[in-house]
Amino acid sequence: MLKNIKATAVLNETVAEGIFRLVLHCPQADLWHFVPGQFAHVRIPEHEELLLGRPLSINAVNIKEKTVTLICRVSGKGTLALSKTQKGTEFSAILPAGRGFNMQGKYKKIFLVGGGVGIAPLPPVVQKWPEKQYEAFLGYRGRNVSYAVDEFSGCEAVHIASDDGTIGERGTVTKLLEKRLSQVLPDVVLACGPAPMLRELKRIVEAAGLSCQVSVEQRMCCGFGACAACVCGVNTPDGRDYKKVCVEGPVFDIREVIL
Amino acid sequence: MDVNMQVSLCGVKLKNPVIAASGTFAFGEQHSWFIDVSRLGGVALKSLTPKKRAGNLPPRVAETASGIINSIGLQNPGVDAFLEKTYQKTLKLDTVLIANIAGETIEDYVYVAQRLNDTQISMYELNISCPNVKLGGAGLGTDPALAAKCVRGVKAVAKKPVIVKLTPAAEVVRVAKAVRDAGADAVSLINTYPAMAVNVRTKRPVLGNVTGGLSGPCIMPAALKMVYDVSRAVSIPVVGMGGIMTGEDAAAFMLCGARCVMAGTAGLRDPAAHIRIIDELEQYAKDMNISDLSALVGALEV
Repeated sequence: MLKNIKATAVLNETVAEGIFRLVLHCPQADLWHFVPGQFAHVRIPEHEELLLGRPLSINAVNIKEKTVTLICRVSGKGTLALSKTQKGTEFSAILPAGRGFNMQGKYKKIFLVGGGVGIAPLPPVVQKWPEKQYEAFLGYRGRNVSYAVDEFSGCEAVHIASDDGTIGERGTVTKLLEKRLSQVLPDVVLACGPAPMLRELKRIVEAAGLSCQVSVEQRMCCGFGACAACVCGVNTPDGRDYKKVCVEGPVFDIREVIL
Repeated sequence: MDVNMQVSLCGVKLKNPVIAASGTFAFGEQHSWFIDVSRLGGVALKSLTPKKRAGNLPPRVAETASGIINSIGLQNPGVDAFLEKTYQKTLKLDTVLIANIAGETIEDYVYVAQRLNDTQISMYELNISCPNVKLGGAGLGTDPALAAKCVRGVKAVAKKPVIVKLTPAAEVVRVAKAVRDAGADAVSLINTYPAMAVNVRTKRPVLGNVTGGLSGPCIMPAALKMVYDVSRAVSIPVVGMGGIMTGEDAAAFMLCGARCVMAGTAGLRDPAAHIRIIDELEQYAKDMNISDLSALVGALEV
């Protein structure tokens, strides 16, 4: 059941160029229900002219401290305002929101693939299901925008790529993945990142016959399924249809979603 | 002091004048996760068309200063699937239900009205003002003669009162008079303003549909003026809407002649907005020593 809650900022800090970490204290949120891949729909405090909430990745949940850690890239007026909020600022948010990664399958070996700010929702997967074997594939534009690398210490291997070669190998994260898949195949790939990365990923996992779940991004309005604004295209037996990213996603089976 | 919040619209009693605007409340299920929907005066359901509509290409929303532009494109399951799968659940909302009807042709509107005639839905709202569809929609609503023809067609079969939802992208008083003459029981206004947003970095429109409809507080002053003009030009009830975010916003529409009000964008920003608006409206009436809220309708002192 979705809940609209009040939260208070306990930390707001820059983690890389244009990327910030916002930690919210949210005693009203049902954090024990949290599934990695779920997001927070956060309204912008003190900006009445910015009407809508912003969907932000949940990067960590601390049930004991009743906090969530959100990671966000400044990409417009709303996220810029959020990046400037001070400790003690009160927020209103729907949290947690959406459907996260599905671990019903008996997966043992899991590949996590993230690109840019899309890396943020992946560390909670390792924390939530520590008994699995993981390898992480992280893609950044460059070292200046890299963050969260140390949050994958529970993985057997962390493969890093960057567009400019300043961190990890020069090239795309999907190239690294493709190379590794020629050596070993996981039971499932869980991914989040920009649309071009997800499209390339779709080609790769289809060629390898792998199951894959992807978290997609879309301009969002209400965040709870009332308006049908944040849809993504899906394949159905009757042709193209749309699903609501905020309540039916943001995580979808890569076979279903049109990227 | 107790305030009588009850109002009457087309012979239907509403607990209060605050109605959820069509297209912002789906069929009520989502908001009922957060609030007691039965406290609302009514719910205008998502537009229904004869057949399922998948809706427009995303992105479907852009935020602007104190407003949002949407281009949902009347995504809905179609009237038959609604009756089969959703209708019974909407009855549990325990409030007055208004079915919003849309189509590409006048026959579409007539068909949907006929399909809903034997339900417990209280009223129809004809959406002849959607800016996001190529056929029907605002194309019907900007031409007084076509709008009147659509209303006559529906009135000939409808077993329920018919509200006609008007677009601001027209000579709204002329259209209001035309639909009144055609037998409309009430008018609701305004639907969204045709609008667009541009990403100058990519040189592309923000919306997949290129254009959309603007709503929110930025349109409220213009909406108030249209409600004021229409309520003085026609004697049928006027339902006012356009950027209502607070109880005092609702009061402003009532003073300008609105019998009831609809709030939409407010409920997308905050799922509990309608409840807050009702409470604030009641508090406003208490502050103003108004014992019967209906006394507010058209009471603007000019």
